[in-house]
Amino acid sequence: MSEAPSPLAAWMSAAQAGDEESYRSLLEAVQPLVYGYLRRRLSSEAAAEDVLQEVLLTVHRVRHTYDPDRPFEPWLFAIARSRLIDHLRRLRRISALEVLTDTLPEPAAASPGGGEPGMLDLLERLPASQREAFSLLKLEGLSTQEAAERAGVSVSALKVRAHRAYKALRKALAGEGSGD
Amino acid sequence: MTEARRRLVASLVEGLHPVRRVRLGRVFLALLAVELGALLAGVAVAGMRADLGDRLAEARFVALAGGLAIAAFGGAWAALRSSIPGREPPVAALAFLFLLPVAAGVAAASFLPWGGRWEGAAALVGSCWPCIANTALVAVGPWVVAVFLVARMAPLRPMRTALVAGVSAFAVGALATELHCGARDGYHLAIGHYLPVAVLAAVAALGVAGALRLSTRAGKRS
Repeated sequence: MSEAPSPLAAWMSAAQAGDEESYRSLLEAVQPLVYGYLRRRLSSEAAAEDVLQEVLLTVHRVRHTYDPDRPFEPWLFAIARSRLIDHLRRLRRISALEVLTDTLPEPAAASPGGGEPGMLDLLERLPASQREAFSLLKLEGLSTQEAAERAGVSVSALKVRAHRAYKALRKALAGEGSGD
Repeated sequence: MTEARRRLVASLVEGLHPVRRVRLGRVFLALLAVELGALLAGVAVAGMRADLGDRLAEARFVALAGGLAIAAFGGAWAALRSSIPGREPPVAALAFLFLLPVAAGVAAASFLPWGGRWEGAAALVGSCWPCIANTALVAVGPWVVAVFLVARMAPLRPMRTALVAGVSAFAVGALATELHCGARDGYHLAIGHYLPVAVLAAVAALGVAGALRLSTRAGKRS
Protein backbone atom coordinates (compact mmCIF):
# COMPACT_ATOMS: atom_id res chain seq x y z
CA MET A 1 0.00 0.00 0.00
CA SER A 2 1.49 3.36 -1.00
CA GLU A 3 1.69 6.27 1.43
CA ALA A 4 -0.52 9.28 0.90
CA PRO A 5 1.46 12.16 -0.62
CA SER A 6 2.48 14.96 1.70
CA PRO A 7 -0.12 17.72 1.71
CA LEU A 8 2.59 20.33 2.21
CA ALA A 9 3.30 20.72 -1.50
CA ALA A 10 -0.40 21.10 -2.29
CA TRP A 11 -0.83 23.66 0.49
CA MET A 12 2.15 25.65 -0.72
CA SER A 13 0.89 25.56 -4.28
CA ALA A 14 -2.45 26.91 -3.11
CA ALA A 15 -0.69 29.51 -0.96
CA GLN A 16 1.21 30.73 -4.02
CA ALA A 17 -2.19 31.39 -5.55
CA GLY A 18 -3.25 33.35 -2.46
CA ASP A 19 -5.25 30.73 -0.50
CA GLU A 20 -4.98 31.88 3.12
CA GLU A 21 -6.41 28.71 4.70
CA SER A 22 -3.91 26.50 2.92
CA TYR A 23 -1.14 28.84 3.90
CA ARG A 24 -2.17 28.77 7.55
CA SER A 25 -2.32 24.97 7.45
CA LEU A 26 1.11 24.88 5.86
CA LEU A 27 2.72 27.22 8.36
CA GLU A 28 1.24 25.30 11.27
CA ALA A 29 2.28 21.95 9.83
CA VAL A 30 5.90 22.90 9.15
CA GLN A 31 6.58 24.35 12.60
CA PRO A 32 7.06 21.04 14.46
CA LEU A 33 9.19 19.72 11.58
CA VAL A 34 11.50 22.72 11.53
CA TYR A 35 11.54 23.17 15.29
CA GLY A 36 12.57 19.52 15.75
CA TYR A 37 15.30 19.96 13.16
CA LEU A 38 16.59 23.07 14.92
CA ARG A 39 16.35 21.67 18.44
CA ARG A 40 18.53 18.75 17.44
CA ARG A 41 21.19 21.27 16.42
CA LEU A 42 20.78 24.03 18.99
CA SER A 43 20.98 23.64 22.74
CA SER A 44 18.82 26.66 23.49
CA GLU A 45 15.05 26.59 23.11
CA ALA A 46 14.99 30.35 22.71
CA ALA A 47 17.54 30.20 19.90
CA ALA A 48 15.56 27.47 18.13
CA GLU A 49 12.47 29.62 18.50
CA ASP A 50 14.26 32.62 17.02
CA VAL A 51 15.60 30.68 14.06
CA LEU A 52 12.23 29.05 13.47
CA GLN A 53 10.65 32.48 13.16
CA GLU A 54 13.37 33.52 10.73
CA VAL A 55 12.62 30.39 8.71
CA LEU A 56 8.91 31.20 8.60
CA LEU A 57 9.68 34.74 7.46
CA THR A 58 12.01 33.47 4.76
CA VAL A 59 9.47 30.90 3.59
CA HIS A 60 7.03 33.78 3.22
CA ARG A 61 9.46 35.99 1.33
CA VAL A 62 10.73 33.38 -1.11
CA ARG A 63 7.56 31.31 -1.53
CA HIS A 64 7.52 32.14 -5.24
CA THR A 65 10.65 29.99 -5.70
CA TYR A 66 8.91 26.76 -4.72
CA ASP A 67 8.09 24.47 -7.64
CA PRO A 68 5.00 22.35 -6.80
CA ASP A 69 6.21 19.62 -9.15
CA ARG A 70 9.10 18.96 -6.78
CA PRO A 71 9.07 17.70 -3.17
CA PHE A 72 8.44 20.40 -0.60
CA GLU A 73 10.72 19.21 2.19
CA PRO A 74 14.10 19.76 0.45
CA TRP A 75 13.04 23.33 -0.33
CA LEU A 76 11.93 23.94 3.26
CA PHE A 77 14.97 22.38 4.89
CA ALA A 78 17.38 24.19 2.58
CA ILE A 79 15.92 27.40 3.99
CA ALA A 80 16.05 26.07 7.55
CA ARG A 81 19.67 24.99 7.13
CA SER A 82 20.63 28.37 5.71
CA ARG A 83 19.01 30.28 8.56
CA LEU A 84 20.61 27.95 11.08
CA ILE A 85 24.03 28.63 9.57
CA ASP A 86 23.36 32.38 9.70
CA HIS A 87 22.46 32.05 13.37
CA LEU A 88 25.59 30.06 14.20
CA ARG A 89 27.72 32.65 12.41
CA ARG A 90 26.10 35.44 14.44
CA LEU A 91 26.84 33.50 17.62
CA ARG A 92 30.48 33.16 16.66
CA ARG A 93 30.71 36.89 15.99
CA ILE A 94 29.37 37.87 19.41
CA SER A 95 31.22 35.17 21.34
CA ALA A 96 34.30 37.39 21.56
CA LEU A 97 32.28 40.06 23.34
CA GLU A 98 30.84 37.54 25.77
CA VAL A 99 34.34 36.46 26.77
CA LEU A 100 35.25 40.07 27.46
CA THR A 101 32.14 40.56 29.56
CA ASP A 102 32.89 37.46 31.60
CA THR A 103 36.39 38.62 32.39
CA LEU A 104 35.41 42.17 33.31
CA PRO A 105 35.22 41.70 37.11
CA GLU A 106 38.88 40.70 37.39
CA PRO A 107 40.50 44.01 36.44
CA ALA A 108 37.76 45.87 38.32
CA ALA A 109 38.50 43.95 41.52
CA ALA A 110 42.22 44.40 41.04
CA SER A 111 41.89 48.13 40.76
CA PRO A 112 43.54 49.68 43.83
CA GLY A 113 41.30 52.67 43.97
CA GLY A 114 38.18 50.73 43.10
CA GLY A 115 37.23 53.64 40.91
CA GLU A 116 36.86 51.81 37.59
CA PRO A 117 33.28 51.33 36.50
CA GLY A 118 31.76 47.88 36.51
CA MET A 119 29.41 46.35 33.95
CA LEU A 120 26.36 48.01 35.46
CA ASP A 121 28.08 51.39 35.29
CA LEU A 122 28.91 50.80 31.66
CA LEU A 123 25.33 49.80 30.99
CA GLU A 124 24.12 52.97 32.69
CA ARG A 125 26.16 55.02 30.24
CA LEU A 126 24.35 53.54 27.26
CA PRO A 127 21.38 55.33 25.74
CA ALA A 128 18.14 54.01 27.24
CA SER A 129 17.05 52.23 24.06
CA GLN A 130 20.34 50.34 23.75
CA ARG A 131 20.40 49.52 27.46
CA GLU A 132 16.90 48.12 27.22
CA ALA A 133 17.77 45.98 24.21
CA PHE A 134 20.87 44.60 25.92
CA SER A 135 19.03 43.89 29.17
CA LEU A 136 16.12 42.13 27.50
CA LEU A 137 18.36 39.92 25.40
CA LYS A 138 21.31 39.26 27.65
CA LEU A 139 20.09 39.73 31.21
CA GLU A 140 16.51 38.49 30.87
CA GLY A 141 17.38 35.99 28.13
CA LEU A 142 14.38 36.76 25.93
CA SER A 143 14.30 35.81 22.26
CA THR A 144 14.67 38.68 19.80
CA GLN A 145 10.99 38.41 18.92
CA GLU A 146 9.92 38.57 22.57
CA ALA A 147 12.35 41.37 23.32
CA ALA A 148 11.12 43.34 20.33
CA GLU A 149 7.55 42.94 21.47
CA ARG A 150 8.47 44.01 24.99
CA ALA A 151 10.30 47.05 23.68
CA GLY A 152 7.51 47.84 21.25
CA VAL A 153 9.79 47.91 18.20
CA SER A 154 10.41 45.67 15.19
CA VAL A 155 12.82 42.76 15.45
CA SER A 156 15.18 44.53 13.05
CA ALA A 157 15.17 47.71 15.13
CA LEU A 158 15.84 45.74 18.29
CA LYS A 159 18.74 43.94 16.63
CA VAL A 160 20.22 47.27 15.56
CA ARG A 161 19.93 48.64 19.11
CA ALA A 162 21.50 45.52 20.58
CA HIS A 163 24.30 45.61 18.05
CA ARG A 164 25.05 49.23 18.92
CA ALA A 165 25.00 48.36 22.60
CA TYR A 166 27.49 45.51 22.05
CA LYS A 167 29.69 47.81 20.03
CA ALA A 168 29.63 50.55 22.65
CA LEU A 169 30.33 48.09 25.46
CA ARG A 170 33.16 46.49 23.55
CA LYS A 171 34.68 49.91 22.93
CA ALA A 172 34.31 50.86 26.59
CA LEU A 173 35.80 47.58 27.79
CA ALA A 174 38.68 47.82 25.35
CA GLY A 175 39.37 51.38 26.50
CA GLU A 176 39.56 50.31 30.12
CA GLY A 177 41.59 47.25 29.28
CA SER A 178 44.24 49.46 27.71
CA GLY A 179 44.68 51.16 31.07
CA ASP A 180 44.03 54.74 29.97
CA MET B 1 3.01 27.23 19.67
CA THR B 2 4.25 30.33 21.45
CA GLU B 3 2.23 33.51 21.45
CA ALA B 4 4.91 35.31 19.42
CA ARG B 5 4.88 32.57 16.81
CA ARG B 6 1.08 32.57 16.67
CA ARG B 7 1.15 36.30 16.02
CA LEU B 8 3.83 35.90 13.37
CA VAL B 9 1.81 33.22 11.54
CA ALA B 10 -1.28 35.40 11.72
CA SER B 11 0.57 38.36 10.25
CA LEU B 12 2.10 36.24 7.48
CA VAL B 13 -1.30 34.80 6.56
CA GLU B 14 -2.80 38.27 6.66
CA GLY B 15 -0.06 39.56 4.37
CA LEU B 16 -0.47 36.73 1.87
CA HIS B 17 -1.09 37.60 -1.74
CA PRO B 18 -0.69 35.59 -4.93
CA VAL B 19 2.83 35.36 -6.30
CA ARG B 20 4.12 34.57 -9.76
CA ARG B 21 6.01 31.32 -9.51
CA VAL B 22 9.60 31.23 -10.74
CA ARG B 23 9.94 29.17 -13.92
CA LEU B 24 13.59 28.25 -13.88
CA GLY B 25 13.67 27.14 -17.51
CA ARG B 26 12.19 30.39 -18.75
CA VAL B 27 14.45 32.51 -16.58
CA PHE B 28 17.45 30.59 -17.92
CA LEU B 29 16.35 31.12 -21.51
CA ALA B 30 15.94 34.85 -20.82
CA LEU B 31 19.43 35.08 -19.35
CA LEU B 32 20.82 33.00 -22.21
CA ALA B 33 19.22 35.38 -24.70
CA VAL B 34 20.79 38.36 -22.94
CA GLU B 35 24.21 36.68 -22.92
CA LEU B 36 24.03 35.69 -26.58
CA GLY B 37 22.83 39.18 -27.45
CA ALA B 38 25.75 40.73 -25.57
CA LEU B 39 28.16 38.32 -27.22
CA LEU B 40 26.94 39.09 -30.72
CA ALA B 41 26.79 42.82 -30.04
CA GLY B 42 30.29 42.77 -28.56
CA VAL B 43 31.69 40.99 -31.61
CA ALA B 44 29.73 43.19 -33.99
CA VAL B 45 30.98 46.41 -32.40
CA ALA B 46 34.61 45.34 -31.90
CA GLY B 47 34.86 43.29 -35.09
CA MET B 48 35.50 39.62 -35.74
CA ARG B 49 39.07 38.34 -35.87
CA ALA B 50 40.21 37.69 -39.43
CA ASP B 51 41.57 34.21 -38.79
CA LEU B 52 38.53 32.78 -37.03
CA GLY B 53 37.85 30.22 -39.78
CA ASP B 54 41.38 28.84 -39.52
CA ARG B 55 41.31 28.83 -35.73
CA LEU B 56 38.02 26.95 -35.58
CA ALA B 57 39.74 24.11 -37.36
CA GLU B 58 42.23 23.83 -34.48
CA ALA B 59 41.20 21.54 -31.65
CA ARG B 60 43.10 23.55 -29.02
CA PHE B 61 41.38 26.80 -29.98
CA VAL B 62 38.01 25.08 -29.90
CA ALA B 63 38.91 23.55 -26.51
CA LEU B 64 39.93 26.88 -24.97
CA ALA B 65 37.00 28.83 -26.43
CA GLY B 66 34.72 25.92 -25.54
CA GLY B 67 35.88 26.18 -21.95
CA LEU B 68 34.80 29.81 -21.91
CA ALA B 69 31.44 28.89 -23.46
CA ILE B 70 30.88 26.21 -20.81
CA ALA B 71 31.78 28.70 -18.07
CA ALA B 72 29.42 31.27 -19.62
CA PHE B 73 26.32 29.20 -20.20
CA GLY B 74 26.91 26.58 -17.51
CA GLY B 75 27.57 29.42 -15.09
CA ALA B 76 24.25 31.02 -15.94
CA TRP B 77 22.41 27.78 -15.23
CA ALA B 78 24.34 27.20 -12.01
CA ALA B 79 23.76 30.75 -10.77
CA LEU B 80 20.02 30.45 -11.30
CA ARG B 81 19.84 27.03 -9.67
CA SER B 82 21.86 28.39 -6.74
CA SER B 83 19.00 30.80 -6.17
CA ILE B 84 16.36 28.11 -5.65
CA PRO B 85 16.40 26.56 -2.16
CA GLY B 86 17.12 22.85 -2.30
CA ARG B 87 18.33 22.94 -5.90
CA GLU B 88 21.81 24.36 -5.39
CA PRO B 89 24.41 22.65 -7.59
CA PRO B 90 27.18 20.76 -5.79
CA VAL B 91 30.10 22.89 -4.63
CA ALA B 92 32.39 20.86 -6.89
CA ALA B 93 30.38 21.93 -9.93
CA LEU B 94 30.61 25.59 -8.93
CA ALA B 95 34.33 25.26 -8.28
CA PHE B 96 34.77 23.61 -11.68
CA LEU B 97 33.04 26.52 -13.42
CA PHE B 98 35.16 29.05 -11.53
CA LEU B 99 38.39 27.21 -12.22
CA LEU B 100 37.68 26.52 -15.89
CA PRO B 101 38.87 29.94 -17.16
CA VAL B 102 41.78 29.80 -14.70
CA ALA B 103 42.77 26.42 -16.10
CA ALA B 104 42.43 27.76 -19.64
CA GLY B 105 44.71 30.67 -18.73
CA VAL B 106 47.29 28.43 -17.10
CA ALA B 107 47.18 26.08 -20.07
CA ALA B 108 47.62 28.93 -22.54
CA ALA B 109 50.57 30.36 -20.61
CA SER B 110 52.18 27.01 -19.86
CA PHE B 111 51.95 25.33 -23.22
CA LEU B 112 52.04 28.49 -25.36
CA PRO B 113 50.02 26.72 -28.04
CA TRP B 114 50.59 29.46 -30.60
CA GLY B 115 53.93 30.65 -29.26
CA GLY B 116 54.68 33.65 -27.06
CA ARG B 117 57.48 35.45 -25.31
CA TRP B 118 57.66 36.99 -21.85
CA GLU B 119 58.48 40.67 -22.21
CA GLY B 120 57.84 41.82 -18.68
CA ALA B 121 54.72 42.33 -16.62
CA ALA B 122 54.27 46.03 -17.48
CA ALA B 123 54.42 45.43 -21.22
CA LEU B 124 52.10 42.46 -20.90
CA VAL B 125 49.48 44.29 -18.86
CA GLY B 126 49.72 47.24 -21.25
CA SER B 127 49.06 45.04 -24.25
CA CYS B 128 46.31 43.10 -22.46
CA TRP B 129 44.45 46.10 -21.09
CA PRO B 130 42.21 46.69 -24.15
CA CYS B 131 41.14 43.04 -24.10
CA ILE B 132 40.37 43.15 -20.35
CA ALA B 133 38.36 46.34 -20.85
CA ASN B 134 36.49 44.77 -23.77
CA THR B 135 35.68 41.72 -21.65
CA ALA B 136 34.37 43.88 -18.82
CA LEU B 137 32.36 46.08 -21.17
CA VAL B 138 30.61 43.18 -22.91
CA ALA B 139 29.93 41.54 -19.53
CA VAL B 140 28.19 44.53 -17.93
CA GLY B 141 24.76 43.78 -19.42
CA PRO B 142 24.71 40.05 -18.66
CA TRP B 143 26.10 40.72 -15.18
CA VAL B 144 23.42 43.26 -14.29
CA VAL B 145 20.66 41.05 -15.65
CA ALA B 146 22.02 37.96 -13.87
CA VAL B 147 22.24 39.77 -10.55
CA PHE B 148 18.73 41.16 -11.00
CA LEU B 149 17.35 37.71 -11.78
CA VAL B 150 19.03 35.89 -8.89
CA ALA B 151 18.10 38.68 -6.48
CA ARG B 152 14.45 38.14 -7.46
CA MET B 153 14.77 34.54 -6.32
CA ALA B 154 16.30 33.26 -3.08
CA PRO B 155 20.09 33.04 -3.14
CA LEU B 156 20.69 31.48 0.27
CA ARG B 157 24.44 31.31 -0.44
CA PRO B 158 24.90 34.80 -1.90
CA MET B 159 28.67 34.70 -2.29
CA ARG B 160 28.66 31.48 -4.27
CA THR B 161 25.73 32.63 -6.36
CA ALA B 162 27.31 36.00 -7.10
CA LEU B 163 30.61 34.36 -7.96
CA VAL B 164 29.17 31.92 -10.45
CA ALA B 165 26.92 34.61 -11.95
CA GLY B 166 30.05 36.70 -12.42
CA VAL B 167 31.92 33.81 -14.02
CA SER B 168 29.03 33.44 -16.44
CA ALA B 169 28.88 37.13 -17.39
CA PHE B 170 32.62 37.69 -17.66
CA ALA B 171 33.09 34.45 -19.60
CA VAL B 172 30.64 35.87 -22.15
CA GLY B 173 32.83 38.97 -22.28
CA ALA B 174 35.97 36.87 -22.64
CA LEU B 175 34.37 34.85 -25.41
CA ALA B 176 33.58 38.05 -27.28
CA THR B 177 37.19 39.14 -26.79
CA GLU B 178 38.41 35.76 -27.99
CA LEU B 179 36.34 36.09 -31.17
CA HIS B 180 37.65 39.62 -31.73
CA CYS B 181 41.31 39.62 -30.73
CA GLY B 182 43.62 37.73 -33.06
CA ALA B 183 46.58 37.68 -30.66
CA ARG B 184 48.24 34.28 -30.48
CA ASP B 185 50.70 34.96 -27.69
CA GLY B 186 50.07 32.49 -24.87
CA TYR B 187 50.80 35.05 -22.17
CA HIS B 188 48.40 37.52 -23.76
CA LEU B 189 45.70 34.88 -23.94
CA ALA B 190 46.20 33.98 -20.28
CA ILE B 191 46.36 37.51 -18.84
CA GLY B 192 44.14 39.30 -21.33
CA HIS B 193 41.48 36.71 -22.12
CA TYR B 194 41.10 33.91 -19.57
CA LEU B 195 42.31 34.89 -16.12
CA PRO B 196 40.29 38.15 -15.99
CA VAL B 197 37.12 36.05 -15.94
CA ALA B 198 37.91 34.65 -12.51
CA VAL B 199 39.43 37.88 -11.15
CA LEU B 200 36.60 40.15 -12.33
CA ALA B 201 33.99 37.63 -11.15
CA ALA B 202 35.55 37.53 -7.68
CA VAL B 203 35.74 41.33 -7.41
CA ALA B 204 32.18 41.76 -8.65
CA ALA B 205 30.91 39.07 -6.27
CA LEU B 206 32.47 40.83 -3.29
CA GLY B 207 30.62 43.96 -4.31
CA VAL B 208 27.19 42.43 -4.68
CA ALA B 209 27.01 39.47 -2.27
CA GLY B 210 25.83 41.69 0.58
CA ALA B 211 22.95 43.01 -1.49
CA LEU B 212 21.96 39.48 -2.49
CA ARG B 213 22.04 38.44 1.15
CA LEU B 214 19.56 41.17 1.96
CA SER B 215 17.26 40.03 -0.81
CA THR B 216 16.12 37.01 1.22
CA ARG B 217 16.10 38.77 4.56
CA ALA B 218 14.52 42.18 4.15
CA GLY B 219 11.65 43.83 2.39
CA LYS B 220 8.44 42.46 1.00
CA ARG B 221 8.25 40.69 -2.30
CA SER B 222 5.45 40.79 -4.80
